[in-house]
Amino acid sequence: MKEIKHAVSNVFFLISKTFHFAKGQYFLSGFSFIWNTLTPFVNLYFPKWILDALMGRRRWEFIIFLLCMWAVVNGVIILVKNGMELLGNPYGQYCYEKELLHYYRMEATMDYSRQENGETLDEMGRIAGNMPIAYFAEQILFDSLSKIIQLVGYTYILSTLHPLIVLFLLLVILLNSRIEKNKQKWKYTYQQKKSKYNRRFQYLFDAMAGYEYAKEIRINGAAAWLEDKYQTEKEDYLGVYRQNEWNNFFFSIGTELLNALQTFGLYLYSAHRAFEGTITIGDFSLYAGTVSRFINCFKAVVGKLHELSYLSRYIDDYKRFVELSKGADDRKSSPIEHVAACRNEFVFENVSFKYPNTDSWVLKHVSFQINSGERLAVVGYNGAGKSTLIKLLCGLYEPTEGRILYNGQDITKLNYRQYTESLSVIFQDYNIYSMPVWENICLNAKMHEKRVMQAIEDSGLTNKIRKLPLGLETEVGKEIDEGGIEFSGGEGQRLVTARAFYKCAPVCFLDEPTAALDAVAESQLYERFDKVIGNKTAIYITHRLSGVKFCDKVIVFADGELIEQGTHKELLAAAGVYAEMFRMQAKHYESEGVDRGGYYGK
Amino acid sequence: MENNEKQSLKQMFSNIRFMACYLFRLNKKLYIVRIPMLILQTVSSLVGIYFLGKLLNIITGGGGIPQATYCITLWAGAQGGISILLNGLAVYDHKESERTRLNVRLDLAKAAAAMSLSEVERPYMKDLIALAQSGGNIEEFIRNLSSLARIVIQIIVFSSLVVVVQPWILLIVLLNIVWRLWLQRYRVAFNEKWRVDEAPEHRKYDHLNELLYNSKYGKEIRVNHLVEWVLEKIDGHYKENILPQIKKCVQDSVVITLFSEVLNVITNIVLYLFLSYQVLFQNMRIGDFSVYLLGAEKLMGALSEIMYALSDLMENAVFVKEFRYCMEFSRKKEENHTEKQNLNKKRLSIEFKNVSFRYPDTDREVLSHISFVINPGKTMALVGPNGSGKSTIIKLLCRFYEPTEGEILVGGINIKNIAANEYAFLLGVVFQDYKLFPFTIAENITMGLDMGNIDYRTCIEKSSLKEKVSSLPKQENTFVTKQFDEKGVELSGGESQKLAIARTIYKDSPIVILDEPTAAMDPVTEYEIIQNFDQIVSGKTAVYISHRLSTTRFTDQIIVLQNGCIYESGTHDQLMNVEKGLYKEMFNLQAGYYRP
Repeated sequence: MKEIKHAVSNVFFLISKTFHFAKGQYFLSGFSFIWNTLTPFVNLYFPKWILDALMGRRRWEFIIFLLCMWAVVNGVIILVKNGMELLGNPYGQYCYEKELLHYYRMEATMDYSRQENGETLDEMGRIAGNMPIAYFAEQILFDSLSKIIQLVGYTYILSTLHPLIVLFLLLVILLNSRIEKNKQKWKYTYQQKKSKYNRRFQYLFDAMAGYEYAKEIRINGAAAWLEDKYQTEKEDYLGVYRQNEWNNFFFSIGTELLNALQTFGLYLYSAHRAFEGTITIGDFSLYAGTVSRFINCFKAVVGKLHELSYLSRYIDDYKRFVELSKGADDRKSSPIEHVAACRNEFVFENVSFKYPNTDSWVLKHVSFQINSGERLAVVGYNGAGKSTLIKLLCGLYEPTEGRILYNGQDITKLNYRQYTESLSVIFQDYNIYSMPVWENICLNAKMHEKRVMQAIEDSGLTNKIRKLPLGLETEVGKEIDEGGIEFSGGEGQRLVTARAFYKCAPVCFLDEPTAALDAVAESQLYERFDKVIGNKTAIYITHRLSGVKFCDKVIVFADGELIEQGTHKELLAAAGVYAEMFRMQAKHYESEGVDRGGYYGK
Repeated sequence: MENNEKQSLKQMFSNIRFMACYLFRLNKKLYIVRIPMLILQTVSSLVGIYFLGKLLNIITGGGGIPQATYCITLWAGAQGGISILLNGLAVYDHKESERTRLNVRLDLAKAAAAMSLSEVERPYMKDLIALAQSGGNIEEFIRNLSSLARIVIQIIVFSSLVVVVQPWILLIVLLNIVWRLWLQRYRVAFNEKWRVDEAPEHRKYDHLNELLYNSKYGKEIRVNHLVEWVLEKIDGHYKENILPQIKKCVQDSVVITLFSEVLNVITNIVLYLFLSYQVLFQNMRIGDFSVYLLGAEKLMGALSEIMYALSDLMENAVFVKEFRYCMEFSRKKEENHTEKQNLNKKRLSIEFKNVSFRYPDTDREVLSHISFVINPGKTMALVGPNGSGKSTIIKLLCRFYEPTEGEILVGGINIKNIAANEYAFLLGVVFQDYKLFPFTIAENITMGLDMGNIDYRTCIEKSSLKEKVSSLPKQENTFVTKQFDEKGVELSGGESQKLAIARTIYKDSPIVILDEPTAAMDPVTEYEIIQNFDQIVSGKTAVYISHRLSTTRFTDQIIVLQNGCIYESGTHDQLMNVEKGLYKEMFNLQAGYYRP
């Protein structure tokens, strides 16, 4: 009982959340509710009256009259029902979309650390898989109500046969409910397992059939390997599935026996009364019809209540999810204090960081400063924490210890939107969107054609764009639109560089922005950086120490720690790690006395 | 295959039949268990009618309570027993359905994996995969097919029952069927039009949604505050492109339902009229009246249901059509080529003979009359500005596409004529956009291959990953990313690249291709890897692409591409002596940064 109360309160919670964009839907459902509840009774009583007429007065005209009435009533019902479907269905689907978006929105704004995390992924998968249930939330509520009212109606009809029947029916209902309750307990645990398996099947299927892994699969003949994995998972899963099915079966035996008993008892009694002559044949058929409808209606009510309780669990998940997804935007924040124009300084104060639920420290006691207008190069061994630095600076994660200050203020306390507006970021794993070129550059900012063209020029893409059939309107990538144009690795990199240039924010973070560029393009880009970045504050992560020449200061990372800092010349003179790295890269550009050193062995 | 073709009803039936046969071959048990189920279901509906009629006749015909009791007992017993039996069979049935569903997806995945890359890239494949994703298609198809079977049997059984009364009722039945099929045809045509014309819109819609829920876009979405922007786009796109179609679809659907239901009501009334007449004026017994009436009702019910079953089946038809294409395509491929070639697995030459290439459905020639030879065991570097065709040469060599003109020979044999699985063993490739799998590190290296004498741990060492791997709690049995294991580890760009290299080392193939393999590595690691290249490529024929001309310097030959043509070629020293040479310019540009 408590569960049902909780379920109902959950449903009201959901309705209150979605009411503002689904009002019409709720009203339509309410209306349908009335019709749906009354219709079965129409089709119970007319046959009874006709039978009575056939057995009793036997007047042909009266029967024709009855049939016409019946036709008319049914006709009206049909018209109204379909009319509402016509109006309500598209609108309802639109509401569903809105709800889905509402949900995706939360996913997209929650703390980044959560979105990446495997457990949340699972939960989100479960919620997303259940979305259609939310869509039908109000339908479920109304349908449940409708069926319950019908059940009451049928009980009333049967009670006219004999009042004690009500008690009999209540007993049957009680026993059936018991059975159902136990059945559902099993089902929920099963659903948890099922969603985990489904995620895996999904992945394996994608890997084999999708485009992302296509090259790797083919060149390595990996299809068979993945197939093996699939088969293993499949057998495991089917074992779990079969068990669940057997559970269902055993529970169903109980239900069927109860139904048979119910039918037997009621039919027998009705027949007895018919023999006595205390009820007419018409009545008998009415009662007989009602019994079977009662049984089906009860099954339906049980079904609806399941949906309701399932919905309720989903809503519990949903509530929890809403809690989890309070993202950066919701943080208590203070606005950025007005400082002297063009001042953009960063200070790392003894920052240490490890990813949530892990043990190893990615950054250890990192302290350094970037002055306004300075360009800082960050170099270091792989996995040393350089990209993590950018993620922290972007506010995607918070430092585990220590603080990051922007113009003297802790960035975790700043208004996130304001803060990120001052940043232009190119991530190492940047994204290109399946949208026109200009949108890939402007994103959500207003489009000024001149500025777009300037950004394209600055990133060296003018030639490519000129060759495109639709110019700036051309879709990037062929995935959505066959008329789209593929951008090569280097062209893509230049496109995102254009994006950063366009945003023109006072602070610029660049993570390996020239990795995919050839020598000429790289050199051109350096020149342009010089011009475009100008006096902005910039952090530049790179492996190619050639880029360091354009920076004012260098910091070197190893194993999460900052081991050297200074200007390029200072570090070379210091003959430390940086000097060693530089020497290694420079080595093979020298033209004389070159040591083959085992290259491409002969 | 032209996804832009719309299916006719006839084609749909043919596809449905194909699917039914396919499922049968896949899992006979699925069909076998259905037969008793269908019989029981039909019997179940007959039982109710029969006994009710009998009971009514007993009551009105002057029978006694004992007779009635006996009748009712039989009735309750029969219903209960049949239901329990059906539930028992359902267990078996559900399991086999589920198994079949998973097997079908597997078959589809395998067929897709066997297709060429150019096929898999096409938008229709994305659609097919998105359809298959929902997985419910197979389940639904099976359910709908068996519903259809059940309904057809019911129609036959109840028609025979009712026709006994008056043959002309059969006429009504037939009229009903014809009328509904005609409506169906109309709806099918409409749906097809919607599907084909609107597919790109749906793809766009899905892509926009993905931007929000896929963590791949997570960073940029947050840092650039793109959420509202994307939401607006989605809403706008939906309202403009998807909602109107939904409205039209619902309209049609409602009209069809309306007609169908009105037809039901009319038929119902007519039957009642006729049968009442029989009772009033032709002395039909009430019990028989009820039997015929209920029988007729069931018949009408089945007739309306047939519409829904058919239209549900039609909805699956799209998936079925594309599925069928996929299956038949992959079967055709197997029949094609290829003889087993006896290639010397250790040292192979590579030759491009006058190869030209443009991507399918485009005009621009990406490669133009490319010719070169790499002798067995030699290395070649491909350099050139972006977009000059370097990666394309690799794709052709990997047989992802076929040259528009010219030939590619490996070991003297045209690669077209080598069987796919044999060819896969000849190449070890590290792509520029390589992919790691969310399985263990060891599995990412071996990928299910057992190379016997090679230990994957040596590969870890050779690719400079030893230190990182030893630092992990489960070492090489640690999962990559958290997707399959919460304790999985995220590797940095450089570490991932090293893992991809380890994979190629393990494969020990006679040809090795490296496309920017050190792009994400720090200088020291890069240096280490390059020193170890000796061991990776020793004795192998290798192709190497990189922008860092310091690393391509020591290959046996260098080819400089520009605009899809070979601009210059030779060794490093030769190229540095070309006056105003492109290579010379690029090399000096890069070297310049390192000079004091």
